[in-house]
Amino acid sequence: MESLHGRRRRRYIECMAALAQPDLRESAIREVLAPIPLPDGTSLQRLEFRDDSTGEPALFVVYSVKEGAEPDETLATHLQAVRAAVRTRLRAFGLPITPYTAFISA
Amino acid sequence: MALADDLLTQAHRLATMDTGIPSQANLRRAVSSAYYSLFHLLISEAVQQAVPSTPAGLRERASRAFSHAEMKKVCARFTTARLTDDLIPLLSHGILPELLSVAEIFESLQEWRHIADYDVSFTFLRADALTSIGEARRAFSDWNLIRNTDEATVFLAALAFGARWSK
Repeated sequence: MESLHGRRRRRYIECMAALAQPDLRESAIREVLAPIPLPDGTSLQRLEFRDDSTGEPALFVVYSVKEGAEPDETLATHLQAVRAAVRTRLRAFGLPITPYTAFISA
Repeated sequence: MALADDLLTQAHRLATMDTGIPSQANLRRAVSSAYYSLFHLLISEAVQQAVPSTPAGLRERASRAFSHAEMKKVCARFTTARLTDDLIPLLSHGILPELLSVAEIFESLQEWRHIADYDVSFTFLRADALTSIGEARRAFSDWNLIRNTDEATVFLAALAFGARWSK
């Protein structure tokens, strides 16, 4: 019987095979993420395809954030909505791997 | 106050205690505490569901059997686009949105806890730490809405059995 890890890896390969060209894959995902409203000074910096801490294939969506434009608590509320929207949109897109959203200083 | 609630309170205190530029140590511990608050909430719920309250100490002993990595893998099964065969008969109505939220936030918080504890190359923003705390609060709130449902019961059982669930 195929293991959970094997199933997820196979689904990852299937999805990535469907998006075979790295440029196309990145461009498709950027298109999916583009409608997400972002706080002022926040922008999508890059996408990183790599394993997560448990060794599972994952996608790290990295946004750069301008600090100081609004109180940290307010900014955090907006960033929480961004994280939720990234997960929702990529799940609806059918991405078979877990997306994580990182925020770095602009 | 339960340990899970205490940890969430502690996370916010750590994230906001510094004036000016916050200490990375405090932000990292805040992110870690936010994760552990949800970790202990779910363990506590699973143990109360599956383990008798007597003899004294049994539930505390059982709580130590949970594995971070296995819990994350279970959450991944509840968050991916397609349910696996072992879950379909048990989740006839699919996955409740609140349960999906809890599972997704658990995955996210655990990854950020790992980065906070081990990746010294990453610089945390205060807003970043507060985002993780906000997500943990959201997970608590979503969990309270569904904790008495059959779907939540299945989720807790899967967390408790971990990798052995799909045998």
